[in-house]
Amino acid sequence: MIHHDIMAPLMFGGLIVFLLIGYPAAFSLGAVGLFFSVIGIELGFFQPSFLQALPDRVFGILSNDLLLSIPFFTFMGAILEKCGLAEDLLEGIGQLFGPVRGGLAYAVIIVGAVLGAITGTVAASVIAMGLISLPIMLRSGYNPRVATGVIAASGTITQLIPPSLVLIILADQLGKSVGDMYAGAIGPSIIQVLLFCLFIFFLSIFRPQDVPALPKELRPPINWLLIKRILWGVIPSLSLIFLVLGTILMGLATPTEGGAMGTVGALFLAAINQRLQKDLLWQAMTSTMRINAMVIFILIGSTVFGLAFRGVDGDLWIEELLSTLPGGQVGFLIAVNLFVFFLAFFLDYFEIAFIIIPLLAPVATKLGIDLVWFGVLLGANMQTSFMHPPFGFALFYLRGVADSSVKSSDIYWGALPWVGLQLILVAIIIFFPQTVTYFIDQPMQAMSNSLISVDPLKDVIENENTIDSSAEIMRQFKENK
Amino acid sequence: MSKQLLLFTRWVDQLNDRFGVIASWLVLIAVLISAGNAMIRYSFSISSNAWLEVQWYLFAGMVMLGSATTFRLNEHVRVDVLFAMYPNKVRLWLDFLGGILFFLPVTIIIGWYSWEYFVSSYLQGEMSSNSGGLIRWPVRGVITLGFLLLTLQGLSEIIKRYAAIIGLIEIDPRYERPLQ
Repeated sequence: MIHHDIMAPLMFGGLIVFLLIGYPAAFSLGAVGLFFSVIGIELGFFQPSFLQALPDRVFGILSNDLLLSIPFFTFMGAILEKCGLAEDLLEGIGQLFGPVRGGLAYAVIIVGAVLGAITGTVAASVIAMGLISLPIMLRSGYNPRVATGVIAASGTITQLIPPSLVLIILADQLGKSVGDMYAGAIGPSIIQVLLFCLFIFFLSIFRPQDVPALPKELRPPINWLLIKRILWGVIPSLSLIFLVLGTILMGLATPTEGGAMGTVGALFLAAINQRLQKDLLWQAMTSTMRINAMVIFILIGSTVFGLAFRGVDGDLWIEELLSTLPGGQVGFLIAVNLFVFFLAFFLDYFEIAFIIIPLLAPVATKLGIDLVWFGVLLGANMQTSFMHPPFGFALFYLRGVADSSVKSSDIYWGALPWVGLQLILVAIIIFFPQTVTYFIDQPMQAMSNSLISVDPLKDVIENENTIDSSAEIMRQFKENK
Repeated sequence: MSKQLLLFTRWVDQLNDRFGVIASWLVLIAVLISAGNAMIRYSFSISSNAWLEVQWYLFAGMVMLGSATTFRLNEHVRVDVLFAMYPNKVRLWLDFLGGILFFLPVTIIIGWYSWEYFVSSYLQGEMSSNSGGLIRWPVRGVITLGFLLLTLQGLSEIIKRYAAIIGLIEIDPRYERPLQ
């Protein structure tokens, strides 16, 4: 006879083993859940009707309007990747900053942040920068470690800068509004960009040979052509940022609709640049469909797991385990962040968000931790999962597009200082919650008041997580009329 | 016998690839509808529950109809720390046994119970609780259909893995993580 107390640890161990085997995670998760629910039903821990609830959970996931933003932002990223925007930005801004020592690196950071504010895919940024900026940096005499490090790290900025998918998924799992999550992430995003720039600045002082200025023969003349080039990259970027982020933060559109409008904008931009060919569109559509199916099935699998885990009182076990940690709030946060940092070596951010966050959120609430702060913190932490050598995705993409003269070991070593910077950011957010909370209350109001007088949907964003969002949107809208 | 089984796998693969094409188009259609909804609401202050619900009906469609072809293409994400180190033979065995022990139980059990939901929804003529909302059984049906397609694809993959293990066909069991 298996004792009740031992079921939850057994199940958690089972999860780790089943995942590590390497069978597709969505179905491993579902299998652990079902396996333990059958045992649970046999031993009388819960009712057989438990299994019948599963299709309703699937239905709940599919009817969640917010999750629809996953395919939209993925689609938008896939289009933008091919429409030439990143190239225009990188070449224009790179040439503008190039003559300064470390200038190319600053340009990469800035472009990474701008691309991040438009959409949310690391792959697109890293690939574009690896193809365009890396060769120029190497030709100018950059230390390959610095060049690859700054590119990989700047590509991951997109994870934290709104409108990031991570934040949407975290908001969904934590039951918080996406609008608040986005507003909360603004401060840490700015701090991160500053940290990165500061690092390059110190390098340019103490190791100037690592980050030389663009040599004279590579510098373009400052003329109308260069300015046109820069504007050609900057104007569409700003329009897209407004179209997506602006409409979401001002409450004109839900995050899902913001993603949809951004995608239409990206399609329009691709059409103007004459890049909108049939097979580009088709590729973007199918790859989006497959990524989306994969992500949503992870969520379905983790829901099956989560239901059964709560059935064997796993939530209570986790809570007991974590609330015995010394140091109260800060102790909990440090432990959780170490845990997530470690998990990020093996799991993708959405796996962490779907499996682990639902277990942690109740404990965090009990300790009086603001869940928006908690979410932004974890979002910042999970950025590092892209940077861990040797599995980090950003490094992997960069390896794919970098010239073979760039050694893999340079890419790995180059990433380390930036992982360090991101951990510093995590520490800053832990010890200064104001970095998150400051932007949630004030500027949103100021921004929306100054730009529009009537704000029909502002409240809707706050209610984003109600299941029946369509009815809610209409109700709010009519009330405001 | 084995010939018929392989014919079956080819039929399933083609069937699910066709549903994959449909699912891919749903992505574009959903984007256009959602952007349209937002713009029309803002410019004309009108909105319809039916059009808002269509968005997530399409979402359900793209997930449930596209999942099987995603599975065929080996694009459901794996934790590949160990998987990357296995020899090909082990990978084939893992997918073969995993298909029987992990995959099929999940798709068959959830699929079976979702069928019950679909039937009762259909018989009751279940409607959306929003005024002007849509009828519910099509989306319940898509869930059942999706799990049915997945089950078929699971069978197909299991047969193909077995055929590869006994040397009847060749499969490249390598795995590359999808872009994100």
